[in-house]
Amino acid sequence: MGNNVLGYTVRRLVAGVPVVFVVVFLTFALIYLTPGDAAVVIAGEDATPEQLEEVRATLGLDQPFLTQFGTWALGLLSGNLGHSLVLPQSVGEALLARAQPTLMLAVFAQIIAIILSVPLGVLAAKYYGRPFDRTVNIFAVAGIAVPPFVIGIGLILIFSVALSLFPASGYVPPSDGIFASFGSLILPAIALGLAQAAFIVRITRSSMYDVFSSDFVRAATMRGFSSIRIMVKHVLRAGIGPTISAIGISFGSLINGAIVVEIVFNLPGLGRLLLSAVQTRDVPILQGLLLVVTLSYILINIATDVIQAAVNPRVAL
Amino acid sequence: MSAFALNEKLVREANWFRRFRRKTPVGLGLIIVAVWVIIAYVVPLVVPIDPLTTHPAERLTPPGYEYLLGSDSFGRGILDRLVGGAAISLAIGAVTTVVSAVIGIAIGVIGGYVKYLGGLLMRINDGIMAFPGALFAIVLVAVFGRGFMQIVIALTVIFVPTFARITYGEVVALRSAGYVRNAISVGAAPLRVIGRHIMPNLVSSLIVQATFVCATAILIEASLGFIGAGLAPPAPSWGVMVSEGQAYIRTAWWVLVFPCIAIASLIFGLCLLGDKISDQLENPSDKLPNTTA
Repeated sequence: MGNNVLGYTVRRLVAGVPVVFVVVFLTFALIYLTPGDAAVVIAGEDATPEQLEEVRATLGLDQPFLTQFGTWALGLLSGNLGHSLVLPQSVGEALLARAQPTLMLAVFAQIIAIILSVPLGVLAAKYYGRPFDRTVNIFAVAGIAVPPFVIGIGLILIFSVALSLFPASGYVPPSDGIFASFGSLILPAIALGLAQAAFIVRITRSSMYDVFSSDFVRAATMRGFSSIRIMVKHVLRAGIGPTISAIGISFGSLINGAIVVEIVFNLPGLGRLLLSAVQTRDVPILQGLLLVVTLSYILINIATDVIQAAVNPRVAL
Repeated sequence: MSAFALNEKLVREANWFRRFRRKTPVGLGLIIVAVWVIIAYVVPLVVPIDPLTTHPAERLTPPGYEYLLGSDSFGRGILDRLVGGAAISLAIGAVTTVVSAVIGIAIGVIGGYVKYLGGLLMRINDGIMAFPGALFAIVLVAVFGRGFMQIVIALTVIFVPTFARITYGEVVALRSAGYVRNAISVGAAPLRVIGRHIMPNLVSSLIVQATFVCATAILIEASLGFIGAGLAPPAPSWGVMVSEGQAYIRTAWWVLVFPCIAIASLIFGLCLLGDKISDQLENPSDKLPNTTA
């Protein structure tokens, strides 16, 4: 079986190559989507011809399209994402310098989401159609509907403005004290985690419901196994697959949400970098950020599929 | 009118009503969405709405007689701006959904029908879908520019693949179905096969998808406005309003809270509506509730 999983991993990675190619190509082509002359847009309307020439040379806009793409893609292979137009840094350095708060927030939020959503989803499935299930379901729809930045503002109103329990903004890195760092991240992580949990709950609920109403679970109940044993050995094993997929898929919205929630709580992460790049039209930073995030998302999804295949032998290997 | 005919008419009406109830997603979701549509497009015809004129003397007025929901830091009525924002949100949601559905369905049908194109189109599709939606939208709008049309184009790029993938899958699956091959063998033109034999199978899943695309488009537009990467102030976009209100979180709650409620309620309504439609489509018959569980 171990061999099978390895083979499956290799096949999934190979199948991901065309997607990665399309992603890389579209990200590169972004610079050509700027209306009018990209150099004018980037350098500003009142740039001198020399400045325009310099921007063109920096971006390689004076080369033929395919040459530019080739140079850029080869650079990517050696980890070179280009140089920021505004910051005195390479794109890679700029991303690394700001990745920590975003990653901490994302991981923290996803942990909260998983701890909250999996038990609630399973219990809602067990009590399907009863008041408990209906309550969970309403909250799940609300969690999907209310954007994370609105949840964040609600949390600030309650826990910072009314109760003064946690800071409303700012970030303390873990090197300056674990507890202070935890305190600075708890509200943003809950805001983001609730939105994530809502999505996972719904998937878990419906997949677990199918398992609860299946013959083998009823057979196990009739044999008189304890409900804990049925839950762990039968229901969870059979129904966890879609939950794993949902957790993997939700990494996309996790990153989206982290970027916006960072702005609410004024955390100095990738969201702030993105925003300043948007305002200054720093296209290399935009491309680099988009590419790094999307490629990690693709890898996480492949990893999710592999974990799923390893856990559940029914997935065609 | 004989008793028999009357009876038949009553039965027919009762059936019609049942069918109407079954086919119409009446519920909280539809009501919320309808209320917002009325607020956005009917109210301005009756009451003058002015979301833009500033009244510096009346800044940050609390909710009361003069400003029902208070005024913001420029002395603009929050209610007026909410009404203007509703029109923006609904227009962005509706235009994005319709345009991306039309393009997506066309791509799906072409891909499903023309074999050698299908693989290529779907690879490009997968590539676009791999970008996390909101991040891709922020970058696209940064590149295109921050206008209404640019936002709609960016959102359309993001949502076309959703519709294309559903359509493509269904077209490929149905192309080999017996009744479709029969239709082709008796000489039905491709457009007729698509319109009469393939699309009717697709309508329901596309409608469900459309409500969620609309909700997500509105959510992304609000997020863009909030972080300052979407419509620029003074446009009364709800996201812009929330972002302006955050500065007054401790002093003037109304500037912040009402736009938050507006965003949450409209998206909540659309999600409920989508859920309701998909439930009804999955259980089209008047079955008794499933009691086997």
